[in-house]
Amino acid sequence: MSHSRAFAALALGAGLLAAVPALAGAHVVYSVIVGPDYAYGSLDGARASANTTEQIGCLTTGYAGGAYGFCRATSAAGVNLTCYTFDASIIGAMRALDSESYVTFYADKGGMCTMVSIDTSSVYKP
Amino acid sequence: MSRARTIALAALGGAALFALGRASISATAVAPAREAPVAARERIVRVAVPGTSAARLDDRDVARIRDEVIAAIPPRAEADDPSAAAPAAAPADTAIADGASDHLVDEALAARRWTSADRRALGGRLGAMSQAARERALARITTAINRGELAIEAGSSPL
Repeated sequence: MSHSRAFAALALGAGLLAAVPALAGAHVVYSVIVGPDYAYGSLDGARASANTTEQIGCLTTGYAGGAYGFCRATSAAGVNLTCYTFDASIIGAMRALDSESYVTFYADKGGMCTMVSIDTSSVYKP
Repeated sequence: MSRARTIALAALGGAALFALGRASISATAVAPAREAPVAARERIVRVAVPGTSAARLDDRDVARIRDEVIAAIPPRAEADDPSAAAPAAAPADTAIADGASDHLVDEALAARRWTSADRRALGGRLGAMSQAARERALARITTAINRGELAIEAGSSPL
């Protein structure tokens, strides 16, 4: 290989490196934890888990005359916790959920959500 | 019959007809303001003031008739309140939807399985169900899942 060809290859490699977007900033992966009346974890963490059982999320459903919300979490061990709500404030929190969210929820013995927290941050970015 | 008695009777009859005319005019004048439906307008004609003969109707009687006519006109909620126009499930429909949802959850709990077909079936009835039945269904499903008594189809949302 001539000097000029080696130089060109080096320049091309440097150019390619410069074109790759920088992967910077904090990035934390949280797996899904399920307790007797609480669950938490990030959507990113559930997706990045090595198992096929972990999941966490919430949904909201509207129908003629009202709406309800529902959250579900499944740990790596396959333990489920779910809760439902007709409370407008809790439904509002659930609606803030997106792919970069970290979810925490609590359920009472009747399955009703007593608290739902949606934390959306760059650290949970997929 | 004497001539004087004939004149007196004619005068009385005229007064009665005059009074009836006033009552009729008053009632008719009230109805258009509320745009009463045909059925309500027919009812105006049949309004009776107990213990009052047509010949003795005065302003107080006319006021009473007007009040009764107004009371007889059904409220036009759909025109005044847009939310009242929303179709509400009839009580019979609600009872049917409540019973069907209870049955659906009973069957799922017995089979220890909640499928996406169950979810769709419940979702389709939510609008017709009573709030108590909605809460009952969601509470039974969530608590059964939490206790490990109800398996959820893989890849499917329970609700």
